[in-house]
Formats: sequence, C-alpha cells, structure tokens
Amino acid sequence: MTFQDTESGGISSLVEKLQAKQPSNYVLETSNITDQDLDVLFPEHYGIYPDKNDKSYLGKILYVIGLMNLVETSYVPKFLLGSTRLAALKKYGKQSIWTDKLETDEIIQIASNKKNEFGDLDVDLVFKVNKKQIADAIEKIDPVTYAAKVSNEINVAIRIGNKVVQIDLVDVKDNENSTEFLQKSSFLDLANNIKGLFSILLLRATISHMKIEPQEALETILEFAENNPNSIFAKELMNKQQDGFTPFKVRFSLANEGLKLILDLKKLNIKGKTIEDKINIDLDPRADFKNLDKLAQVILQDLNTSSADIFHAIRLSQFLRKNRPDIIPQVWETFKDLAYKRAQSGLTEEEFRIGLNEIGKILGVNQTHSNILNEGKQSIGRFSGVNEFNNITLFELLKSIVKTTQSQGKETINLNLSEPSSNIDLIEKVDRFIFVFWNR
Amino acid sequence: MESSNSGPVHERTAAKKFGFSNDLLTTFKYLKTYKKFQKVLSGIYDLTGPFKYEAELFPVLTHEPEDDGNIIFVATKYDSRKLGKYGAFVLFKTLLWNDTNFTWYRPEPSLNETLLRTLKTQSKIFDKDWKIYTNDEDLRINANFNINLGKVISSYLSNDNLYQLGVSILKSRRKTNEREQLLSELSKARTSIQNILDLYANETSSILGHKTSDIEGVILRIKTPDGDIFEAKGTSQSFREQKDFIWEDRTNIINFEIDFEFQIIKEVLLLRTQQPAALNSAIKVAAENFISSQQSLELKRKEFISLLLPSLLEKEVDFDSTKFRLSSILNGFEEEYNEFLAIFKQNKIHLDINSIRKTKEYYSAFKTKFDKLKNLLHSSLNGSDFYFRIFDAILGFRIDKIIDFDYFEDPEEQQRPKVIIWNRKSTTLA
Repeated sequence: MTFQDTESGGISSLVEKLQAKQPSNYVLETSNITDQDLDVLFPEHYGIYPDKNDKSYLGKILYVIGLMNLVETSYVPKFLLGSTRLAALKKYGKQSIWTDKLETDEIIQIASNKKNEFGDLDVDLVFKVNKKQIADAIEKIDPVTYAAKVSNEINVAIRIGNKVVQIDLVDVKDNENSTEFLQKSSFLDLANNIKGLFSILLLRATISHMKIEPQEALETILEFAENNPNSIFAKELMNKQQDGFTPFKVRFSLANEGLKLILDLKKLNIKGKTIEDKINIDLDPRADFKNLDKLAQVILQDLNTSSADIFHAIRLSQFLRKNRPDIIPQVWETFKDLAYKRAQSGLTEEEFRIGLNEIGKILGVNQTHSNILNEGKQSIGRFSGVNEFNNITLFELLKSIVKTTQSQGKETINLNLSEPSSNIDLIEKVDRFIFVFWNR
Repeated sequence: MESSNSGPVHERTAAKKFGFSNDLLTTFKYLKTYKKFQKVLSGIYDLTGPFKYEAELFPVLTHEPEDDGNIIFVATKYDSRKLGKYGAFVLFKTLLWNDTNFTWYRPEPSLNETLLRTLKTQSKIFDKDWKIYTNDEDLRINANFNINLGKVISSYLSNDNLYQLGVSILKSRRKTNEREQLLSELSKARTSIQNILDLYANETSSILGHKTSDIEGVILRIKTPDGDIFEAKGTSQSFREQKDFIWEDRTNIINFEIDFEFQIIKEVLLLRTQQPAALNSAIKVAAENFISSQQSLELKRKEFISLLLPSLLEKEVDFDSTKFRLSSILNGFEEEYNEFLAIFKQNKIHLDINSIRKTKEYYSAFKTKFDKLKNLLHSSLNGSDFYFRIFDAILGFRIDKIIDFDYFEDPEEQQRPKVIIWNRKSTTLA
C-alpha cells in the first residue's frame, strides 16, 4: 500500500516555479504550517472580508481576487473546513470559531497541543469565475511569493522566507453547509489522535448499511420502474440499462444535497473491469445539512440522537457499539475499505493505523467478542446479524399460519402446540454444525 | 458428507476440506468406517436412490464431558449421556435426486417425514454409539399461545384475493392510508410474535441437556404443502451471553486472521479488493472460463491463478519485490499473534476443557498458515513462482470451494452429482 507522502504534498510543481524566481543560492523547502505561521497567514480580522490594509499573506490574496471580482466578497471565509478550523481557532480564539458542544475547553486544549502543524489550510470561498482565472490572478500578485495551480480546488503555494506552505481555496458555492460538514474535523477525534476524515468515512460506512425498508428493496424499486415507465427514475434506469449497466443494490448515500436513496449499477467494460454507476431514487433528500440534528436522527434511525452523534467519529462509534451492534461487522468492513482507499491519497501510514485502531477499539472489533463475523469460520458466521423478515415475507408467514390452522377471518389465532402436528410446531434450536451426509 | 461451508467431501478430499476442524474430520473418518451406520445408509439407498439428510452434528468423540456430565457445544450445555458414545445427529430435512433433470429436490412432507423416521428407527442398531434425533419427534416443545393479527391483517388474510391485494399494497411505493395501516399492523404482529418466541427461548430447558440447561433458542416451523418450511426463531438471553464469553478468544484470532489476510492481499499480493464476495465472484468467472492444458495439479493451479489474476489487479505487479513486501509485514503480525495468545492463556482458566481445545485449534490453524508463509519467505522461490505460492496459500481455499482440480483426474468423481446445498436458516422476526 502506498501512503501519502506528506513531505511533497500536492505543490511540488509550484515550489519549482517559485524556486525559479529566487536568486540561485536561495533554496526553498516545502514545509508544514506551524502555529507561528498562522499569525502571518490568516487575515488580520475574522468575519470581515480583507481590505487593502490587511498585510497577511492570505489577506492580500483575498483582497486582490475580491477586488478583481473573481470571488464573492459578501461571503467571508469561515475557515471551518477540516483541521483549518483548529488553526483558525488558534489564531482568532474560541469566541470566533464555531465549536460543537462536546468540544470543551479541555478537549480543545488537548487537540491544540497534539496538532501544532498543519499540512495545508483550506479557505472557503464563493467563486464567481473559473478556477484558472483566479489562479492566474494570484500568480500575478507577486510571482516571487505566490504560485497557484488548479486541481479540484485552487492550490496556492506561499513562500514565507525560504519555506513554502500550501493553502487551498475551496469553492463552497451552493454547498456551503455540506462542504463544511463533509470536510469537518472534530477536535474530540483530534484529541484522541484520530484524523478528521475518519468521522466522515465511518459515517459513510454506517449509511451504506442503513436498513432498507422492504417497500424500497431492489426488486420493488425495479418493479416500480416497470410499472411507471414514464417516471424520471424509470427513464434514467432505462438509459443506463441500454448502456449495458445492471442494477444490483439499493442503498443510502450522503452527498452534497443530503441523504438520498440510490440505486447502484454495474457493467463490465471491454477490458473485463467492473464499472459502477448510480441513479438517485429519491428526488429530494430525506435530510440535509441545514438541520444536522435531523440528519443524525434519520441516519441513525433514532429520534434521541443529535448532530454530535454524527459529527465525531468517537461519538458515532460509541453510538454504534451501544445501539447497533448488529451492523458493526458490516460497517467495520466498509469503513476499513474506505479508509484503505483514502490511505492511498490522503492519509499517512501512521494516521491510517491509529485511526483504525482507535475506532476499532471503541466499536469493539479486533479485541472483543462483540465483533461478529460476516465470513470466517462458518460456525461463528452463523451467529452473525439479525435476519429480519421483510414485510412481504412476514405477511406470507402469517398467511401460512392462518391457512395451516384454518383460521381465515379470525383476529386471534390460538396455537396449541402441545399435541403433535404435522404442519406446525415449536422446536428447540440446536446449533452445532449444519451437516449434510449423502449417499449415491 | 459436507458441512455448510465445505462443498462435497469424499475420502480423498476429507483431509483437505475438513482439515480446518478436528471435529469434522474425525467424525468423517469415524462414520466412513462405521459399518453399522453405513449399512443403514445403504439400505435407504436401495429404497430411494441417492439421498441427502441435513442435520446438526454433535461430535462427542472429539469432546470430553465435564465432571457434571455436560458437554458444551457452541454455548449450550448438553447431557453427554443423551448424545451417544461417539456422537449424535439431529435430522432436519431430506433431499432426493432427480435422475431426469439431475437435480436434488425436496420430497413432499409425508415422504420427508418417512425418510427422517426411517433413519431414526434403523439407528437402533447403533444408538449406543451414535444417537439419531429428529426435530419432528424429539425436539418438540409443548407450547400454547395466541397470535394477535388484528382486524386489518385478519381481513387481508381471509381469502386469496384479499391476500394478493395486500401483497400488491406492500409492494407499491405509493403512500396510501391502506398501506400505512397495513405496515403498522404488521409491525405490531412482528413484535408480538418475536416476544412470544423469545419468551419460550428464555424459559425452556434443553431437551438434550439437563433439566436446568438453558437452550439456545426456539424455532416456530410452519410446513407448507410443497415441502417448504417457514421458520421463525427466538433466541435466549443466556445463549447470547454465554456465546460472547465462550467465543471471545476464537473471535479474536479469527478477526486477527482476517486482518492478516487483508494485509497480505492488499500489501503483498497487491490485489484491488479483499472483499470475500468480490474475490469469490472473480474466481467464479475464471472457473467458468478455465480449460486446463496442464497435467500436474500444481501446474493446473498455477494456470488457473494466471487466468484469475488480471481481474484482481489494478496494474501490473512487480513479482520480484513480493518477498520484500511480505517480509516487511510478517514480524509485526507475529508479535500481535503472541499478544492474543497470551490473552487466551489468561482467559482459559475460566473455560471448559472442550472450548479450550477448540480455541487452541483455531490458534494452531493460524500459526500453521503463518509458518507456511514464513517458510516460503525463506525458501529459494522467487519472482512469479513465489508470488503464486503466496497467492495460493492465502486464497487457495476460496478457489477450492469453487473449482475442484482433482475432479478431472478421478473417474469416480465424475460419476458424482455436483451439488450445492442451501441451508435455510430460521429467521428472527424483529
């Protein structure tokens, strides 16, 4: 597995560009952002869009691109994305930066002490033009000090003396709430050495194993499309099917719009590799980021939960351990898979290992019996999970009871199983091995 | 014979396929040579042709009773005197072979019962050694309870037309009053039946245990005329608690083994997935397309893995660095294994003798697998040969479940039907 090389980050080409503008004996080095750098990087005042008097590195950039009408100056960066929230809190103080109720002074203190370097800072903005125009404008401010390039965001390299640090400008237009949430970093998690993105990975893993109601099961959804060929969903499905995709799973998904039920599809490409696609089943989200308490209640299917339960990986792990041990094995597998994927692009090896260990401990996997296996030795696997009858199967079961006992029309059925019956009985469940012996 | 996870097992493949469990392998060897038992099976075969019995196995011959005469299987105490000197079966269901379309089928209920009763009756000639019980006759629990359907459900179930209407309402996505009402009533019925079943599970003592033995659970069975059986289960609280306690160390080592394999698959073999379903699916596709040009078993396996590998790789693998990748992770796992082993050694003073023995088997099985990799690491193998051997050591068991390389070499094997057994499990209502 290849973990992210934190030394080089994503701005090595920009460092080379800056280096080319320096005197030949002046060697630049990429560096993390230290607590001391925060004072000169962040704009001087929180909550006010920087003006020409702002002498900070970032203040200067924001002033110029605001003046050129490249970004919306009525939107003032909040600095809540990822670990930038902690950096901003160090610069501006707790009174300025939003914190969750579980992030007490003590927790913030622990998190602050544990994290005194930042790989980069994420700056939330509303772009008015394309990213390239903004990047070009930044490079013109002072080519000896600033360089910029476009990726998913705008990566900016800033030279402070002979070291170069990274700042990313993130467009939150239309998605302010969701970007804030999806890129959050919990101080509670940080205080426990858990990197911020683990909370969203664990949440996604939990969502992917949310219970699907029988009326929304795959076969019912497909039946719906068949019976309603003119619906948006049916048309979209038909297009995908014509393109060779086959539907295979219904699940919940959390995206910018909020929580939606989606249909997963897949097909084999000409190289024999599986390509996946998806279609929204829900037109409107069942809950969104404007009301995080409601989002938590819908995801966790518990009205007593609040945003804190989905904000912190620790808190979510505790909730699952206490209330949903039945889905922990599946959630854990998905979570590991997601973490593994991120380990190849956004986590160091140590962050990966610690994150998995700490969350695994709280969930009770690896170390305690509460981890029930999906697969493994069959004799254990058979304990796993709670198989539930869906409503249609339950209805069928009740019908068979009515029919067997000839109780049509009765509201109460008496099952007297004291006498031998060839059709219905109650037996002791024994569990050793299921064993088949046969002869031919 | 076959276990629920082994596929068909014959004398030649028993050591390989039941090798993970002393209980299964020892039982297989014993019953294979136990003439009285074989004689009864042959007698049934003469009457019915090919058949299968699905059963729970109690392998007493690998277990020592505790001082009180109890043997713990899974997490329930059973009275060793009720199980036969060497073991017992509890028979569930039967299958017969259809010579016309070459498939197994469930006989209709009365024939199924006859077949179950026949084996039980015939077993009298060996029942001191090996007991045969049936669910139908021996594990029945006296019970008397009411199921409240309520007016709405009762009405939908009063005739076939209304039942079909109910099904279509349930299948529909439209939110209507009828649908909400039916769902609400079904929810009540579900909870009510589950509570009843759990109550019986908590309050009944085991038929195969002492009077005070708690049971694992109960199953409400409703047999339909076509031979199918609806099963709803209730589970006892004591079983849940005992199971957690007794299986803790085994669960630890299994999880550890899964993590170990995960690391090997991802970091040494560099496969794109470690998910069992995805791996099995890729193996199935390869198996369907596999035509061997090799004679020896080893070359056949290598040929198969060569066919399978491209579908599991994202990019070309540097085979030459496989040894380095493996050596860099083995030490860490050995240390962790020793830590788990130390925990088990502390815990075992609280466990019964059979649970200790079985837990040791799990630890030993992992150690064997681990040592195999270690030995390969220190062998002279290199490059793709080394890679393929590691691949086989970790994923070979999955391949063996899906494709039988020996099959083509053994004319006797080709006379046997290919079988897949789906064991229907009882289901909890809520």
